[in-house]
Amino acid sequence: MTTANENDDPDKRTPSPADWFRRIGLRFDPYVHLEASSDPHLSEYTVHLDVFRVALDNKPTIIVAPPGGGKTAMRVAVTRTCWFDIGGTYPFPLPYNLGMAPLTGKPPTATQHLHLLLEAGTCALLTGLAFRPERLLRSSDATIRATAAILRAGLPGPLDYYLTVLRETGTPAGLTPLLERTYALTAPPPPDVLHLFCDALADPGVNAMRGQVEDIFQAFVEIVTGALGFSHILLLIDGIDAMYENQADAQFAARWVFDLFDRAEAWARSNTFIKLFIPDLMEPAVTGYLHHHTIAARVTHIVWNHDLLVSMLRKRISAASEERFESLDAISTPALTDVERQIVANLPPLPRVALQVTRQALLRYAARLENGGQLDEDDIHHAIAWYRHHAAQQPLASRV
Amino acid sequence: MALTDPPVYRLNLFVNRENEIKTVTNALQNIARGDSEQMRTIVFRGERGLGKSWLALHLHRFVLREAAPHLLPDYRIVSLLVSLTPPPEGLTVDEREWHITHDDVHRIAGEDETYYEALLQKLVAWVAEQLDVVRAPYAPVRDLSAWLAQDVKKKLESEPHLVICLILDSVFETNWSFLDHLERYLLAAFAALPRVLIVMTGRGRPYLWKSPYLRTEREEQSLTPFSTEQVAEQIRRSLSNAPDLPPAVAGLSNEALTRFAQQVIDLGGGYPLTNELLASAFVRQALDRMPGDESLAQALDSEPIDAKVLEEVARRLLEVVPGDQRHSLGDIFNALCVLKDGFRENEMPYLLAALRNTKPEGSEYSMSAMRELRDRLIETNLVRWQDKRYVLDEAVRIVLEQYLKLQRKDVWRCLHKRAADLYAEWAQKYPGSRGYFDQRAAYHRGVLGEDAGYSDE
Repeated sequence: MTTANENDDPDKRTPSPADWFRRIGLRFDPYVHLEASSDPHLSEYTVHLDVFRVALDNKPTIIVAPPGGGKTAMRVAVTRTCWFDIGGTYPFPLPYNLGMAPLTGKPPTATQHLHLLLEAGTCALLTGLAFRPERLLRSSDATIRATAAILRAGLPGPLDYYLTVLRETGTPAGLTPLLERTYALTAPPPPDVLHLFCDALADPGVNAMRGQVEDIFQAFVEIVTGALGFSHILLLIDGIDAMYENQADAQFAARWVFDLFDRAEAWARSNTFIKLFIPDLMEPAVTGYLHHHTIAARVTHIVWNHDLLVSMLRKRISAASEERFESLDAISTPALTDVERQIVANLPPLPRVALQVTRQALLRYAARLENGGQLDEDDIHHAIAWYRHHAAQQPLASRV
Repeated sequence: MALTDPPVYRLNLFVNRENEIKTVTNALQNIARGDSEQMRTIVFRGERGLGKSWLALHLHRFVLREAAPHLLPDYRIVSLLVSLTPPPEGLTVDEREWHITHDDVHRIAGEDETYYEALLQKLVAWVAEQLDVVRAPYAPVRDLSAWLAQDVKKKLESEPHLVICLILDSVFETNWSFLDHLERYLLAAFAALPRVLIVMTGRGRPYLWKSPYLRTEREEQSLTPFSTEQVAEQIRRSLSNAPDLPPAVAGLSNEALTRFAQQVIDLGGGYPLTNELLASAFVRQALDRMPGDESLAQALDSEPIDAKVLEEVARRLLEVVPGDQRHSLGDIFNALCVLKDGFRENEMPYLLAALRNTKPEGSEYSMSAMRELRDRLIETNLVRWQDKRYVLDEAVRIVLEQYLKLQRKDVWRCLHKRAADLYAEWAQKYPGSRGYFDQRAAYHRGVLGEDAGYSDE
């Protein structure tokens, strides 16, 4: 078996040629994105389809997973698939990142939550509609004006500023980093349609909607699920474990969502459903609260085992090869079969680790691709040794 | 010998597929009564010539129009057929059918995205017209798509006894970039609607849909070749309806037809298109050569198939390979057709060199050359990754191997011998996989042994 050392690190040794993945039959590097929101292909290789289904449906749900267990990936995949078509009856994904709440050291109050939800919702709505302006442009003038008024009330900056960004950049992708990173959608509209969209929303006669935040949020819900045609709203709540104080105390962290669940039933009546993504350590505190207050919410778990990790690695290969093959077996020596199983059998059941180690094996192979070789057992052994070497020093998953 | 063209779909020629029809009618009934567990997308996958297009036509023209209304008397069922393969010559395009043209296929293969939009604009406008929604036939496709989704939803709400069935034929064979647009502008929206059933047929690599409804809420069935009884029935119906054949053909007894069907299966594996081509050619060959005192049944029993017939059948089956690649890929198909259980890139240079009677040396046999060939094979949708290996479409493989065995016996033997030696060598070289390679070597030795036994007799 090969052992790992610094000089042997293929990342440092060999810059991959741009067409390297194409030469082995892949459209892209399927293992490079360890941060889900940056992966444009994420929705093509979702595993845990049962969890995916409940993340989309119209029931309040708590989705539990270990750290690094794919919560963000699931949330991003749900968001992007909801906006895949042009104007259908999919749910509206409202990503609410609690990690972005003001750093007061205390959970937001119910009203603060609503303010934050309204801001997150309008950021998502403006970005989404900029990618799919047809959904707004088919609406009545009254709907367009009402949408503009709600956007003006909820966005963190002036609506006109964002419309200027859209006009200047000529693409809705210009809004994504400003407003909602998970809304990196595909198939933007033609520039002339984007300009029409900006013109429609820029009516200077429309002021920000005024009133209590509860009323404005309710108006937001009604317009999204009514005139704009979405089937329901998914409140995709994540990031509760992003703050230092919450990482230290699960019981304390759980308090950040109690106020949200107090409204869950009322929201459900207006087609708005909580989808809370939490780390497994928080499950007892959150479910205990719900049980105590008889609040109905389904709990589902993202559980990783070796079979699912194998499936995840293969789905990525399938997507990257456009289903030409679904296992690295296809580019391996005759001796090597069940490559993915051989890799995960030696690792803890965490997707991020499996992705890193598989990529490491591929990089090692890339270094000698010029010589016409195939992926071999040494590549696998080397990648696993690399993982063990680094894992002994510090947890690999937390390094990225 | 030139083959006669296979007949186009007619109700009285259609046989088998009761299970597939039941799957569709059950789904319709469940969707109508609001069963949330019912999958609303059904995919029928199958190899070349398994009758996928006939099934799509039969579902549209007969099952959903004639049979299903009896099962759901209170419902109005609207079936739309979208065929992504041009209609065969002689097929009359019927009501609520949209067939792609040869020119469309050419432009799609060229990845002309502007053309995709124009074509899909027409298709979405056509769907809207069929469903009597959206009166804006010249609007851009993005607008049409957005309007269609909401208008069909309203229509389904206002007409609670309406069930829509969208049938798409030859989906996976179509350019995937086009499918991305098709899903975005049409299918994703329909898949999310209640009381809409989507039925697809396709060959080769399944497309990775983005919509969760198409991806997670679908039922998949693989079509299988016909049994002896089904082949006999197919032959009986087809030959008795062929205007140029004498009455003696229609007069074949059930026993004679069954024996004939078995011969056809032995040569072609029971795939409906192959059955049709072989049976038709076989009967004509027998009629041509039949002595005056012999019956057709006796002639069919005694007459071996002409190798030219198999060559023609193989040519027909490979018609789906683009013309400019057919010749160059023909060699590869021939080299790999003896690998019944599939192959990886590792076997390719050895078998190809064996076919060419040379050594697998030089850049022509390098791994990158093999990978390029592999990709070209997969593009034909006659090769796919299945259960750890690439497999050649069995309908094609079996005919190619039969043809090689009949017409180029030395090559056929050489390929099996090369495969046996290669696997035996790998069994020694890779002890971790010895059992697997030994088994493969034994298969090829067995085939050669069996053939030698027959030859000795």
